[in-house]
Amino acid sequence: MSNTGNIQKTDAETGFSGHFDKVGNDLPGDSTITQMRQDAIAQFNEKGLPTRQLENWRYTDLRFILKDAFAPLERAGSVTAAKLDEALGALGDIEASRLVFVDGYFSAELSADFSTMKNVEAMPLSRALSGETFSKVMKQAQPDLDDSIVALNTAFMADGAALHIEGDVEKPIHLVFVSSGEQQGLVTLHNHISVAKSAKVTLLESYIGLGQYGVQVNSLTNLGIAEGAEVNHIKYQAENLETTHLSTLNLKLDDKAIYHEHQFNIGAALSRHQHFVVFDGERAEFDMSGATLMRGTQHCDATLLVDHKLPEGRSREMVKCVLDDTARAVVQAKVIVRPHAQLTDGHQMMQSMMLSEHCEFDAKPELEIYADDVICGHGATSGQIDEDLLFYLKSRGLPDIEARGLLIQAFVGEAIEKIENEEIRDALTGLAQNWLAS
Amino acid sequence: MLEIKKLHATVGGKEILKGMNLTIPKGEVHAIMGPNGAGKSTLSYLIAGKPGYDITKGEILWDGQDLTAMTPDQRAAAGVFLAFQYPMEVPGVATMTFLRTAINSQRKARGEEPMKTPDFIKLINAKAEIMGVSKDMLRRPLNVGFSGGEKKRMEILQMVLLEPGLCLLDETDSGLDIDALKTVSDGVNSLRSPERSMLVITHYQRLLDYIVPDKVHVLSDGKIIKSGDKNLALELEKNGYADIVNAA
Repeated sequence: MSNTGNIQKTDAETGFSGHFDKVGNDLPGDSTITQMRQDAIAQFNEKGLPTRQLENWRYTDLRFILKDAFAPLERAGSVTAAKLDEALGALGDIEASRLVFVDGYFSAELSADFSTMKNVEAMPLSRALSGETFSKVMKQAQPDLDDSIVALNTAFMADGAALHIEGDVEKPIHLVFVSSGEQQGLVTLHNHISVAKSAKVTLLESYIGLGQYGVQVNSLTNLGIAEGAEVNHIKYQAENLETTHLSTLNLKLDDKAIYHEHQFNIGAALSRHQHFVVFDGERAEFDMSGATLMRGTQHCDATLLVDHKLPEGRSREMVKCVLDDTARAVVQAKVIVRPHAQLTDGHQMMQSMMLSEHCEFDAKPELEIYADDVICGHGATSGQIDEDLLFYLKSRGLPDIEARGLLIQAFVGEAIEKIENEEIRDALTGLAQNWLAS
Repeated sequence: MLEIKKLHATVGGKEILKGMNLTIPKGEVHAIMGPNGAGKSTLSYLIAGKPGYDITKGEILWDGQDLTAMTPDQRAAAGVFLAFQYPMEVPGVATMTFLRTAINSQRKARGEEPMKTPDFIKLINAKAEIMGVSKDMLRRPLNVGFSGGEKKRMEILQMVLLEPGLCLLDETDSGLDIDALKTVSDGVNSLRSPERSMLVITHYQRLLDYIVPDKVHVLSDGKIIKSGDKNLALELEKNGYADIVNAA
């Protein structure tokens, strides 16, 4: 059933439509893509921004929060390699092949040369979209999701990473999306990633916000993992505090495909990370863990829909949130187990450490099970820093802020300790430990 | 020198210490014994600065500095170390990370440079071997899944690494078998020096066979009611606390 209850359009809703009227024809792609864009904006115009009436947007009232629609940024601001490295901090030291986008535009200057790299085909989406074959692939991969944010992404998508992983890739691929913060604007990113049978890759995806102006980032990743392939995906979100970060992962798992994700969220005024996961094969594995550290008035929402269509799939969602001041974190995970998906093993855990009396944690695990032989469970907890532990650490000489930092790191540690790449794991552990003092 | 003068303290509104006096000069090891509920652990927490333990009257001075005006980490940097009766398990904090952070926090507070990684590893390996702390224990999160004896060995390892001026040992012998008792005592004895004061809190005389005290005090109902040399401990072991407590 479509939601057409929005009688009067908001400034943001009319704004997005108006921006599309202006720039829609100049966006990259052939007639197939143009049609996709037009269908998408029509869908958005009909539905508007999501409201609390939609169950999966219940705790993030985007229609109310998003006051304006920023116009798409017309050009990339200036970000030097040195500035980028500084902004990436410890993640900048990681040995990886970078694909860098500044204000939504591919930067060849800041990116590695992928042409000679083994088992990887990579190009900016803006270039890929001009090829006829690719647009058909795009159309096929496009999720049929009843979601306004996805519709806006399709309408405005301008650039992103188009990757095909053919075999084992030795070094991590680092997708870096940096906002110069020189002006406010809309950045619409679309990544299209296919991973061939039995291939293995580590993807590091970083969102960094510099400067003072906020941007509206809408990022969608279509990721298809073929039989027996394995993807380790680490997402680091450190946008500036004026930014709205809306992201969607549309993931399809084939037989025995393995997907491990680790999220680390510390940035943006508002961030939403939505996952649409489909078990399209048997014995596949989806394991997502997240560390969310929010303060001030930050709001972070992780909403997942995991659809077990076929037997013997394994899914794990674990999100750990540390909240200070009046920050708010939302974690919703809905796991559907279809009648054929016997022997599904699904588990969800949502936990918060609350550092102030005024923060808010909304946790909503949901299970919808139609098969009769499954193991599924969920749990949610909220707590505070253990004062006895704090005293123990302080009695060894750790100043209050360092002792708290260590306990915060310990709390979110479970969400990052399984990262295979030691450099990335250590970098994120350090960031967690220093978050309070930073 | 540790000087406790006319100390009154409450926990949760209840008075536990009622005008206690104690002086431990440098180079001396003093033992405090006493029946359950006498205030022995309270005393150690007050010196280390645990929240919830409130001093209503009196002073605690270490080297002339007023410890009560300092935060727990400042006390640690000034040389105070409490070996806990029940060391805390800290899931998610790697033991090595913790040890290094503790050492370097104290060095920083004293205006010293952080210890270099190779020096730190060398130091840990040497001291851990002496304390019977295995490589596996060092790799695990701090105290998580350790047996009672392992936790106590880890406490004394921390003490040996941090080289405090004032060592407070709160029932370090509880839960130890004879072999572990010996290892732990050897560790403590290795720190005995003319520059250091030690306070050993225990229920039993047994520990004092290994860590031989210069003085023994009996704490009862929030006050020291009797002091003597190491023979006082033997006497208590033989006759119990009742006679002394009743005589006081």
